[in-house]
Amino acid sequence: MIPRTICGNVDVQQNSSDMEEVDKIIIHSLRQVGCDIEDEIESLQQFTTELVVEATVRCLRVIQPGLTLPVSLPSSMSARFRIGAEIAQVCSDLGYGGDVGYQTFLYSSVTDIRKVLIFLIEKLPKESEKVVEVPSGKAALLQQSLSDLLRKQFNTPWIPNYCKNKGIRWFKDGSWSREGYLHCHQFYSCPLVVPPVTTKKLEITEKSKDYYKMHTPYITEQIKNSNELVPSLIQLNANSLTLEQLHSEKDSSVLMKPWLPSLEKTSKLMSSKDEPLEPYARSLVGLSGKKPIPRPRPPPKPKHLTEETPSPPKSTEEVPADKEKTHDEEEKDSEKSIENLKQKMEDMKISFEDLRNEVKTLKVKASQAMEELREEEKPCQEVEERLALWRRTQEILPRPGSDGLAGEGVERLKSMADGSARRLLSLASAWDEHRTALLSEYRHLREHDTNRTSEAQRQAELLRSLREKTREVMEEVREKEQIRKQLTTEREKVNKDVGRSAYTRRIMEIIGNIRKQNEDIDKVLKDTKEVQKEINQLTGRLDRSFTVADELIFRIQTEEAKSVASNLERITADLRQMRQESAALAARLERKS
Amino acid sequence: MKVAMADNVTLLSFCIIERDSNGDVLWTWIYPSITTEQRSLVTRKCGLEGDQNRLQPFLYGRFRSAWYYINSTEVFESDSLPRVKQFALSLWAKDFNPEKYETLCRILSKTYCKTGNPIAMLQLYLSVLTRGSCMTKENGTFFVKEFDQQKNLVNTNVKELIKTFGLETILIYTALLLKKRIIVYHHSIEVLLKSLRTFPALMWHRKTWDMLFPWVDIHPDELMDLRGRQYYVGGCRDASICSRKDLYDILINLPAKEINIAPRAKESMIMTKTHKEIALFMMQLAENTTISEQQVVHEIAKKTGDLLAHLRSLATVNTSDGKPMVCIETLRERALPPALENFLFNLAIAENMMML
Repeated sequence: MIPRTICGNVDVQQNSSDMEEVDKIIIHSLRQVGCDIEDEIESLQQFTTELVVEATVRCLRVIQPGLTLPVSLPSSMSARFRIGAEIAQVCSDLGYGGDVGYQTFLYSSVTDIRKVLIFLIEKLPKESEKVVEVPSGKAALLQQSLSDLLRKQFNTPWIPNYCKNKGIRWFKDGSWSREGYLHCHQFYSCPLVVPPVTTKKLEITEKSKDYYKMHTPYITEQIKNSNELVPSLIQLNANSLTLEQLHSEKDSSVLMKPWLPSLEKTSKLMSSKDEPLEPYARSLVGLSGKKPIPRPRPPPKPKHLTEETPSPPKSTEEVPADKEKTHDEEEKDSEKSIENLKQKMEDMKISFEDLRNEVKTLKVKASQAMEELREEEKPCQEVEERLALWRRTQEILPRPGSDGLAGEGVERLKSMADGSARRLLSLASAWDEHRTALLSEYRHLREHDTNRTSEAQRQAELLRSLREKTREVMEEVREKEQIRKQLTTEREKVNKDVGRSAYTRRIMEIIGNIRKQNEDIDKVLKDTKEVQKEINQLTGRLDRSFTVADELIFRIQTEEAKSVASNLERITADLRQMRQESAALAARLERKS
Repeated sequence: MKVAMADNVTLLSFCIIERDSNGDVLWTWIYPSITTEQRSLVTRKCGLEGDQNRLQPFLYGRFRSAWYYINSTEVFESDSLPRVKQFALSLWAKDFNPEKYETLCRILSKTYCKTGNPIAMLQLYLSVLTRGSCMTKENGTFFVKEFDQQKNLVNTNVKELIKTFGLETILIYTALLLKKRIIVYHHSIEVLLKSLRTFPALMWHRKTWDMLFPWVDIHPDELMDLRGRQYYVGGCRDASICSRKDLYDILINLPAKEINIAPRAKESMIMTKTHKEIALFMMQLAENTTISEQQVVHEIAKKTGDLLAHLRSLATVNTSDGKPMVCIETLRERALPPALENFLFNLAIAENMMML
């Protein structure tokens, strides 16, 4: 019994004793709810975060049964934060007026927690109101889960079918349920091939085993539509059940479901024993005849399992005997049908061969017929043409009875032919005038056009080259501009230091000097030339005088050979004297200088 | 008289296509008229579009039931056709006579070149049409009568053919005999046209050119001609014909000297002892240098005649027209080897002697 001492808007006093009292009450209530609080903890100050969360969650679970918040906090921070926020949300949903957030539970302050817990405990329903039922028995459990589910479904808003995939709808807590009927489909089953599994040991041949192992496709591939899988499986199971029962009846083994009366069942099975097998037999018969092979229908639903029509029970002694007989009969039937089938196959082969031959002959006949047709058409055409020709000649030829002769007719024909030829020629020439005029005009225009296009091309080329040139010139201009700018900047930089006139003066001076030097050089050159000329003259003169002297000496030598010696003496004496004099002069010069 | 008239009415139409200095290909003259299909065909075949320097030789072919002959001429400065570089004269006729039409085309082309006036050409044409002859100043007189069709068969090359293919010539012979669909390939049109004339010579006893399609291009119009027929000998200069297995039972590849048999015709082309005899006989004829082309053709015709006589001996039944026919039962009674029986069966069907 939760004491309803704490009510409505409690004015929380800061009095510690009151607080202690309140805490005690809170802890007691929480213990009653189911929180595992240790005895030592007596005030909310001692509450850990986990304990706070556990307490809140348990209270919320009691207030809102079906709440899926965990009691214990997970380790990861983000999960903790999430849970804290959820708890806060639920609390505010319930109507808690105060400021509540994840921080209230995760980073708790005592006063906040107190307020929240007080609020929650107030919200807790009274014991008397709550009906705690201990579910007992499977039926009760089922009902409980049904009511839970229904409640959950009623609490969620309706959404239309196109928002649900096949009618499935997911809930917040991760569960799902199917709603509506649009996802339903009809019960279409189709026959499946599976290896037979029965309690009775049927002999399965090696070949069948092999077939089942290697060639049978999976049942998911045996069906045309995925919706057919479940119905087909259900049908297959039902069929095998009935067959099983049939066989089991023969062996008098344990009967199947306890909810079917045994006698009635056997009688029903007796009467309808051929039902599952009949379609098979019928289909086999269908193969042997010449009518088209009917698709083997799936065996009809074992109605006798659900029917409860009474029928007179037969004696049990007859039952096993009849069963054996039918089994042998069936085997014989199947053998007979196999024989029939083989026979039919042979017949069909023969007929196929015949048909093939027939087709061949027919083809040949067709081609022959076509050839004949063509051959007959040709003379037919020729005959027609000749007939037309005959008619025309008849028109032209003179009528019988007149005076015309055959020769004349030929002449007339010839003249007519010539006349028409001439007419044709005149027409042709008239046409030709027009034609040639037009043709020449056309050609002329085409030429003109091509010329124009070539002219246009040429102009385009010219234009292009001019454009190139302008571009180049522009480039150059740009470059020159750039250089000019550069130089002007340089000049401006340089110009401040020294004036331009100094440079020019110096240049002029240098030029003058150079000019003077040039003049000097020229003079010297002239002098040198003159001296050289004189030297040359003198050398020439010297040579000439030398040769003259030579001659003279030669002449004188021969003429005055006698006076040579005396002369020679005189001369040598003179020479000696001269030498002495010159030596004396030289010595005097040296002494003087 | 009537026969002569009928002969002259073999000419159907003629037309001129010119290529001028502007590079245009124009149709300048048509008399009396031709259909759009014929027109597009001739434009395709005349070879004036494209390469300017190549001048085509005299060409001919067959379209539907008419024969066309194309003669290309180069125009010189001295001729009276201003601004024209080349022109092609195309003649349509009902009969197959390349020599005759080549001469006629040449005469007409020359006249056109000289006078530059199609009226003169038309005059000559009409004269040939009405009288069977025409007079020209340079070339003398042209007489249609001179070009007898029978002489055509002389212009054949059977010896060459046998020498080229050796023993495989028997395949060509069998295919022609059994009226199969034959396609001949060569990349040069002149060689193709020349060799195509040889094929009818092997079947001298039939004396017809009805199955000949000397020049077929892979174009729907032309292929339509072939498709409607069970039996033809077609020439193609497009190499992709070799991949068109639907168009032939036998493909004769002249430059490669190969004969390919299509799968569906294989069973009818199985060789027997008779075939071997004929093959060896043909080889002997070809190697014999003393006998002429015509004699070769005659000898082969004789051999074929023997074969047909043998077949006729099996013809026990007579139809209402008095024509001897062979029954399947008679054939089976003889208990011949299956290949030979098959061959005789097919031969009888080809010669229209099979009673089915």
